Amino acid sequence: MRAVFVGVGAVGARAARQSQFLGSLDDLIVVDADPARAAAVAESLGEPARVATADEAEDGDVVILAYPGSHAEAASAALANGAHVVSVSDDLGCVQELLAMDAAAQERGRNVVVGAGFSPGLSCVLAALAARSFERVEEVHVAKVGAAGPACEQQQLEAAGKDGLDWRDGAWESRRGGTGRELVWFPDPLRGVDCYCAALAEPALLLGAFPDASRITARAAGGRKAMVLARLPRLRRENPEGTLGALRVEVRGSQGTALDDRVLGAVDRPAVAAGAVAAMAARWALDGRLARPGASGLASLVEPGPFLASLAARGVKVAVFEGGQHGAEAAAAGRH
Amino acid sequence: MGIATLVAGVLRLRGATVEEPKGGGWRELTGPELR
Repeated sequence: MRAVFVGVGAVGARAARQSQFLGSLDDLIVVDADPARAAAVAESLGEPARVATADEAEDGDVVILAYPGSHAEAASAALANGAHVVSVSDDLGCVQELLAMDAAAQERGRNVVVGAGFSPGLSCVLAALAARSFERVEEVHVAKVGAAGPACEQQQLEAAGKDGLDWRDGAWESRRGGTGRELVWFPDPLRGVDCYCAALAEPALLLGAFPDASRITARAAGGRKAMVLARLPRLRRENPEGTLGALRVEVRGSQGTALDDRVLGAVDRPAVAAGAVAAMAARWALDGRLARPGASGLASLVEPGPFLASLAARGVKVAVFEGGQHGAEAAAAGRH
Repeated sequence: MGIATLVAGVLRLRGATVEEPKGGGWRELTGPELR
């Protein structure tokens, strides 16, 4: 088995490290735009890791893409070489390009796992787990806070300034970035954080798993305040490992005639969780454990329980919110 | 007046009026719930 990690920043390096604990690899290839960083990561990983040139980047059984910018070209080339592809991109445009490769991936009997990070990624698996409580899923609402590293933070600032897409009653509805402030209650220690509309990838990914849902939305912390602050001089250096992050995923659905909701969440360093999710997705692709070939998000591809149990064994824990006012009551109060 | 306006503005920016949901809490998912 040969795994190729293209981009070994905060997420890619951790994905490569995690992959060594998830099963044997004959070859672990590291590719990065910064040769010194690639060499340092390969040395840190030890055998069988080695640095390769960009020419070798598509030549693996699975290719994990974890660098800023579009992954479409690299994914297409890797697919043409018969590799599975795992992308950690959270850029909406990139995610849409990768999802459009579904027919090509199915034709080749390979997987393009789209959005295999913290958010999207772990968020999609949480939605799939919460959906198991219902016969029919009516609504999915995702909120996130935190960044995996400087590149992720930059991407989030760009997303905050762009219009988001919500799925409402069978159609995409554009929502202006930085609007729609909503107080979201994340697990401790983050707790209450204001979240806003932004160009987030979850609705595009989750629609494939929940085509009958009437509403799928995503919100992120930051909004216009973060966009303004980002333009001011920084008094401290950016943390290369990112910040503490959290997810909150609320699924509303029906069981028989009863309507109910289920709220799941997670708190972790996004780079740590994203690395574990990407490595796990790559392993499941290699082992033939993904539900079907093609290009889609994790909610359509994995059995959420076993996937999260394996993540928990790697230290990525998830939580459920019980009691309190959320879901139906909050919806009645007009929150979403 | 100026200082009060400034403080009120900062508190608004920080989303200072946060109330914890009553009677609820987060619990880690383990074991059978993840099968």
